[in-house]
Amino acid sequence: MLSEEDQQMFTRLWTEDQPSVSQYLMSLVRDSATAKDLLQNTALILLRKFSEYDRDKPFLPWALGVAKFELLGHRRDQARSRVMFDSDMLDRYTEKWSELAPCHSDDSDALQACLAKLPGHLRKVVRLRYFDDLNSGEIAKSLGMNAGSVRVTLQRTRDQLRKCVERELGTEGGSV
Amino acid sequence: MKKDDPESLIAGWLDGDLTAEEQTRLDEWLRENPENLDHLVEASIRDQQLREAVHVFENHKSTVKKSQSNRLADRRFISLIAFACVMVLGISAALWFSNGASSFAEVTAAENVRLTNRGDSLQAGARFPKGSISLMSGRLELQLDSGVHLEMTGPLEAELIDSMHLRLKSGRLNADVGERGKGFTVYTDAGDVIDLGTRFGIEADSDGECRVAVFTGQVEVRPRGQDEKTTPKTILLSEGQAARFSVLAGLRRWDQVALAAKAAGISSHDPKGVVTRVRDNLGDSELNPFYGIVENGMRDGALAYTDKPNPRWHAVEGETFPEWLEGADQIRTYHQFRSRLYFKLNLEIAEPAVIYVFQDSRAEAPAWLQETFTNTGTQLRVGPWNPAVADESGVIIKDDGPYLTAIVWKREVVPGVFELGPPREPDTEHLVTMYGLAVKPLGESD
Repeated sequence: MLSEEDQQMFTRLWTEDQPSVSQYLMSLVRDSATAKDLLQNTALILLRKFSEYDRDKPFLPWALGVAKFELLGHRRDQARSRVMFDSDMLDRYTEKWSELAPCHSDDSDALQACLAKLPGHLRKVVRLRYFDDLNSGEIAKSLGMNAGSVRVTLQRTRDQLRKCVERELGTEGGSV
Repeated sequence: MKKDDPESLIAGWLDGDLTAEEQTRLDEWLRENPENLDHLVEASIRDQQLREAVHVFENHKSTVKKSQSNRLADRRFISLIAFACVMVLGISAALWFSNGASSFAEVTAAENVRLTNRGDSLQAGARFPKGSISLMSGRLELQLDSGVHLEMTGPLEAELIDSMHLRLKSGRLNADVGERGKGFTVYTDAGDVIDLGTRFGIEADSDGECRVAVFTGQVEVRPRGQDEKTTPKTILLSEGQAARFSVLAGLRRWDQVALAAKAAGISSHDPKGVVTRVRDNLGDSELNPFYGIVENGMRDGALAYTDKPNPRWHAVEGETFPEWLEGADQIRTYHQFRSRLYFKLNLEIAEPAVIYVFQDSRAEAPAWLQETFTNTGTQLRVGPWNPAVADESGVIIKDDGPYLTAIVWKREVVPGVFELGPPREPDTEHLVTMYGLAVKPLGESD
């Protein structure tokens, strides 16, 4: 049983890093319902094991490590899983995520503004991809394009948004 | 389409449509050079952020549409329910008069309270009846049965409809909404403010303008249109953000909010301090962020930013808080602007004063600061920050998290407008924290 002080600390740390853990899981399993289940399991395990957490170290790598094991446990069952890395590459991917994610903590504000500036036809492609969760082939069918053109359009739109965010924020990361 | 170049392989991986052969090529490319993994993870983080941003964007659009269609449906529905209302009203009135006025709230504090429509002998622990609240002066705090805590300062005119709904006619209040109180709604003439689990301050003028500032969490603001055909945009405000709106003027930026010193909340009175105006150069493209002016608010433990709930200004370890800074008017800045390269902030100062800037000590001060300000040689400690920064150089680890230090710079000024620049030079290697600000009349400094 955690003390009240530990519970408060856990809540503060988890609230801060939960979006990053959620994005990490979603980046590796394409199905949002599975990602949510994994996130929930991760939160429960983190809470149960919080007494083992070393307070002198950052919380995010510890949380991502637990999330990674949860992911591996489900890996075989996920037909649409994006995880095709071996365990060594997954370890490196996880480590790199914990290093780079805090550098992007300010991006969401600027990204919203940049998204609003996108021309309507590009916003439509982005919506079909990220909101309706369609793949390039399905988007192509819906818009009467070919799948290759959709991939190119998506790639150019992502580049355009990245440059827009960088214009707003500068190109280097930070993590405060 | 065959994907051979790394960018196409990454794009294919993000879209989940790599063939086994392409996946093998991606693996090989990732193993060629450790920096290649950086590219993939960066792209993946951006991809997930874009997914979330699109969801926020689309959900926001559907909220606005829903609100428009609700109005149409409401008109049709009104005639249907009118009959039912007549029936229910009769029954309710009978119950009301037989049971006496209902209560949805308990008084938790009452200081010098003068109410026009009730006896003034309110005490903590007393039940507070629903209906109109006409607070001439004093401070009244109510705990609603929904878990919502209200802090009201006179003069204020309001009506407590039930434990989840309040109509604010004029005056200012701070609301702290617990988990159970999500959805608590304040109606004003200018529009409605719906709490999504947060602490926020709200002011309404009798001439129809309403102002909202969010200290933690999120609120949804639904301004009222001039007529039924014009439905203004519904907006979401997060911590550190504020807006003003009225039927006539629509939605505008509320960039300067007078804040209470002791906690996150709007001040109970208009500021009369030395700082009369704080304005940045971001204009309408940044509608929501606000700067908080805390009259005489500078002290050990003062909250540092409007958009960060934790970091506070403290004396550095082993020293006392500088006496010459205590009691200065503090300006809580918007931390996310730390990364804007072309940021400018104008301060309008009413009398001869000293402007203090608290600049992150980890990086060289930007040229504008070095050229127009003097380094006092004093430092402050600011934190706690996200534990993720614990490994960075210059970080002090305390029990409640990492802290950073800031150098105090000062400049003596006469009344006028003074321009400050961004917190870092464009070629600085990494981001620094947003600077803090305080201003003290010259006679009271040193």
